[in-house]
Amino acid sequence: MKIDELIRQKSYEKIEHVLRRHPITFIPKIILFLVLLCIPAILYLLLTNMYPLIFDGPVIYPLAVMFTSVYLLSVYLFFFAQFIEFYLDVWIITNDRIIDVEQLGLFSRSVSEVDLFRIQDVTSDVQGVVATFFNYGKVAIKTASVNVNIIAHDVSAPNKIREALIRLAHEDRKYHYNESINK
Amino acid sequence: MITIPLYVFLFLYLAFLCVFLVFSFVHIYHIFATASFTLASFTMTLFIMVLTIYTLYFTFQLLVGLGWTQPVTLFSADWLPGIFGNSSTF
Repeated sequence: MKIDELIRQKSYEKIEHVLRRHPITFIPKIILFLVLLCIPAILYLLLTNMYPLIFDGPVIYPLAVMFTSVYLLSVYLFFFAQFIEFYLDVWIITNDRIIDVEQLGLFSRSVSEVDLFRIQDVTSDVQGVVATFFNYGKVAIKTASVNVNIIAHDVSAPNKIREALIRLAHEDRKYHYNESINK
Repeated sequence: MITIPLYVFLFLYLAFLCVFLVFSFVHIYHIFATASFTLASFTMTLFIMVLTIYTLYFTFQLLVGLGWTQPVTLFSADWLPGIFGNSSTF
């Protein structure tokens, strides 16, 4: 599936930006993954130092191998799930609307959209040393409706996105204003 | 004494592999369903697949040719005196 199919792109609609979380925000999860991968090796070294013959038994050896295999496969699956949650949060900005697709766990996804001409306020927020250094942060899009507010988390160049959104919202508002006059 | 053959654990391991495969396919389905099949997601999927194949290969290599009919003792009454001290005190 392509993005235009995902958002059911209209004939006059043009995709301006596709935003995902900044890659640097995934690094803590990579570190956690590496630490979890090291645990069996550390345990093996500790146990063989304390009890040199522990894995020589005809029962304990296959059980230890199978348990380690299950553990490692679970860690891979957990890491893949973390990547899916990280990568499948996407914000698509077109010249007509903004669509927020958020992956909330393995079996839960939320999709919401806001017409650009309804946008009342756009705020960008860069917090922390790392976020300032790598220029990523939060873009909050508010509408008159209390129910539909979109927040794009950890996106690159939030100030540029805010400026682009304000410009696009202004153009869309002009288009809708002219359309209502012509009616 | 409660004992089970070692191959019961092998069946449990195979059942886990089935669950692992199902969840992996769900992850890959999500990538396609949300139009996120890019170089980054392809690389990550390939990385996980390579790690999985390596792990399964080495597991197979380490387990091949073992005596799977070996009994595994889950519980034995002989263990109790060891836990609560000398059996003559009871």
